Amino acid sequence: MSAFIAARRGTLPLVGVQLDATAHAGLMRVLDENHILVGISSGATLFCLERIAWDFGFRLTGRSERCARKPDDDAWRQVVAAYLSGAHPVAIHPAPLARDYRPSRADGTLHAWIMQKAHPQFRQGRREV
Amino acid sequence: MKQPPNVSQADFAAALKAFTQIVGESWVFTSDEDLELYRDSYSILWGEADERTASAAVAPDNADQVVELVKVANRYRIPIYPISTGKNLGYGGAAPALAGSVVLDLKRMNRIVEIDERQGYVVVEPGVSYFDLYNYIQGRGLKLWIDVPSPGWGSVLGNALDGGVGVTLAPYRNHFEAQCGIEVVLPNGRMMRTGMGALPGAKTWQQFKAGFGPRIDGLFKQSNYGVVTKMGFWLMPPPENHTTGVVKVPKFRDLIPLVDIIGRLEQSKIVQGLWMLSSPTTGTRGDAAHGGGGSAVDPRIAAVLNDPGGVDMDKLDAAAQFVGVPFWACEFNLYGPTKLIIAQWECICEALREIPGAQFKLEQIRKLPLPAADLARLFDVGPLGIPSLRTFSLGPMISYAGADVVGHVFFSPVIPRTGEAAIEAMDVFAGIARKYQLPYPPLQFPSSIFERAFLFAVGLPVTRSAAVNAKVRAAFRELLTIATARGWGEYRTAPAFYELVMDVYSYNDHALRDFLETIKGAVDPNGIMSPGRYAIRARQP
Repeated sequence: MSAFIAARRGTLPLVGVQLDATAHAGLMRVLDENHILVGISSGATLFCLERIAWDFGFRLTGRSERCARKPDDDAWRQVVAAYLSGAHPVAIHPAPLARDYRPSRADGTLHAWIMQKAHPQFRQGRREV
Repeated sequence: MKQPPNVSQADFAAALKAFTQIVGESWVFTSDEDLELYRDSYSILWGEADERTASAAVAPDNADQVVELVKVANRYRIPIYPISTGKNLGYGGAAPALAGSVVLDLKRMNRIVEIDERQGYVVVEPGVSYFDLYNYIQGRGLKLWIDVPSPGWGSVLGNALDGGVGVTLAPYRNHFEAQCGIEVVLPNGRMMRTGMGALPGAKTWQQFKAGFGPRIDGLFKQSNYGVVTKMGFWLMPPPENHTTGVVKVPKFRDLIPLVDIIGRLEQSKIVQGLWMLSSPTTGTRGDAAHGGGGSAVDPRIAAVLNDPGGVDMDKLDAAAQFVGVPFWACEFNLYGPTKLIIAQWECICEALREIPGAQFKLEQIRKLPLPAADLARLFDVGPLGIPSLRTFSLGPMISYAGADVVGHVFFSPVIPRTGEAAIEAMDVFAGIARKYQLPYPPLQFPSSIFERAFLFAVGLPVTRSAAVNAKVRAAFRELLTIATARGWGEYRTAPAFYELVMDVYSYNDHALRDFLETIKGAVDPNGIMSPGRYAIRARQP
């Protein structure tokens, strides 16, 4: 997977997302400046990221439901590769995913996912008074 | 489209049109897809008829728009429900307390109105999160620290209004107690400032809490008397250093002198940082609200801990002493100049040496701020005044009664700050956990997050199964009954339990609730402001 990501780095902008305060400004920039995000994260991270991204007009439009149980899970790697390559079809209507969202059941398992911006941004940078 | 209760379709349509004229079309939300985001992800009523879902949401940009929106709500009798950032999952999230309310989403109002390094305060709007405030301070190199809750993505103002607490120094941990000065739009659309803010041009709004006359700020905590649009908070200077010191005592009953002695140290302000109780017998540290990593447990101790009939404390005490594992550990957070930390630690050691067999260990005193690499290794950076979401990485999600666990609600009684009460609460709540087969550690400990009382937070699982959630609600009701009988009341609860909990605060035939509802009737005769919140209804004279 790391080799795949390294190969894509030449054609796609790749960022590491951290949800801590120290990385918050960077995350805000990513959410502010982009319209489609494709990523891999744990279920817990996605749960948080999705809610932060809502305020920037993003909605989750696709998420792999297959979770990797072990590092050499080839089928899961193919799912992730499909997402990262844009081969996975984007859902037409994102609401059902938000409604049915369940956090990952096991810590350390990963989801591949897509978010798209199609709504007003609540947070367009904090305003000065 | 969902309708507000007791509002005609024509009036609702007219109100939405008026809302749109105030905030603009982009900021009125009525589609199912948009309203999906105004559900509480951790609702214990998820998918049931009683789930509190919104009929619409409106997002103003400033306090003047809030004034106009409230006037429209009064004109058409539309129930409105202000939220700050809607991140207090399990305590309602972005969902209203009354189904069909229009959510007043204040997260666009995210201005840091004023910050004063010299006087140590900040004035914020509702949409300012702990992340925002932390980054603002860091970005400008201000010599200020904030106290943060866990997780730290919520609103500074909203957390205080909901009775939230943090994890640093005692004077700042109770976030409502750390506030100074409120600007609020009353249910009739009139704007008011509390304390010294009532004096036009006041120079001390954020410096003198008492103001002139009755201090009414508390009326806006856990209530429905207005939309708070600005709030001042006292901030602390960043401590020079931080460390932790751990005291271990050998016997189960040592908890009683341990708590008494620490209580005296807190009351005399020698201990100001949060201290956490745990038991080395379990191999874990942590209090009721914040878990932690583990280590191997001796099999003789494990046999007692894993007894399906519950942990017999006498047997565990004996096993721990036989193995040579101290029963209790108490971890103190210490802050300040090196000489102050050393002096505090000496005072702690001197006082606790009264307990035979007490052991002491002071960790290395670290200069703040810690390097980023060191922060990355910590599970919880909250005690260092840094907001994070690391609490979401706490172990695997589990299932309960055959259903996936998707969140939690807390049963959160406040119990006396004594070892006896802690022992009683541990026994009582463990019994309920066994009865309902709740996913519950063998031992759970009270939290010292409040200054003079313990918090005993019992986490209850939330699923997407109505049947399982009904079972959890039954467990909650039993916990409430048992706690109430012992004189232990909740400090905060999920909206599904507002009525139940308010009902037990019944001294003198519900005199408190009657008083609150008399005020409600006077300031909000149309009952449009956050109806249902904390079960305070508008009482007509």
